[in-house]
Amino acid sequence: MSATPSDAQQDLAFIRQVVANRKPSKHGPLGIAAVWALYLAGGYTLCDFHPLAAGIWFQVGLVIGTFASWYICYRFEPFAGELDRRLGLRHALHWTVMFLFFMALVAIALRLNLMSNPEVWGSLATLALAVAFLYAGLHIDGAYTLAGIVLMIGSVVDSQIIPYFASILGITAAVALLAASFWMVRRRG
Amino acid sequence: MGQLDRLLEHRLRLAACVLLSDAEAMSFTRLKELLEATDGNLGAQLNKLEESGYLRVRKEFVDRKPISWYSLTASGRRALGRHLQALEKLISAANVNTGKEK
Repeated sequence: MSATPSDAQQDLAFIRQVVANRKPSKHGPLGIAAVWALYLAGGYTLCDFHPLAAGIWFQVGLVIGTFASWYICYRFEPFAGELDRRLGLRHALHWTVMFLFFMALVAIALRLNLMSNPEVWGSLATLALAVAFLYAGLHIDGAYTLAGIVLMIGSVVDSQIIPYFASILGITAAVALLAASFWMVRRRG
Repeated sequence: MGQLDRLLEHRLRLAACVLLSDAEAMSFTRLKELLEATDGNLGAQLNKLEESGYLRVRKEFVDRKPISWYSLTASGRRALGRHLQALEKLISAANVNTGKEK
């Protein structure tokens, strides 16, 4: 009971402790990071081994990843005991906008005949993905920034010099995303 | 000086409202874990807050297990704000008085 100033101070100390003990959920952020890590690693590996399938992977994967991100938030939050549908909504909005941005880029590339040059188109698409992940780092979770930086560097490197460059880039970005997510979760919890 | 809310003068009820003010909703189990309270005590305190319209409870089944979700209502949020302001004033008034005595 906060009848006296001393009681009030004790109550506030108790509340401060309770709030400090509250750790955010780990399942949601790690689950979503795993989805996007798979998207990057899978897509870029396909660029080296089956370029046609890579295009489909990147486009369809963006839609599936958007739904998966929203669903993971919806599915795992009950187990964490705290509902935060706003996180799921933020993911859904971010990746939907990025999907539209990517579609606009494809339309422009087709109009300018950029797709006939895989080098230029690859760099441009990687730059678009880098922007998407850097924005995700700003809007959703700082853990996405590192993958964005890796992709940004990858977009300006001459892919002809290094064999299996796309696979190396995709796997590096995926590992960067997972490592940053683990690090962020550990730091928060 | 602002009036302290009698309902929120209970430490557990106040702490539950503070936690819920920063979450869309929390499960009974999560609140119990954070507040380190027993089922009976926490249940009784949350009931009082619910009866007064400070909390809203929603029950659902996830994997056939019942989950009670608690969230703060608009009137609960207002009451919490007023109570915390009154607490702040109470403490600062006491600090001023203590300072004068020294």
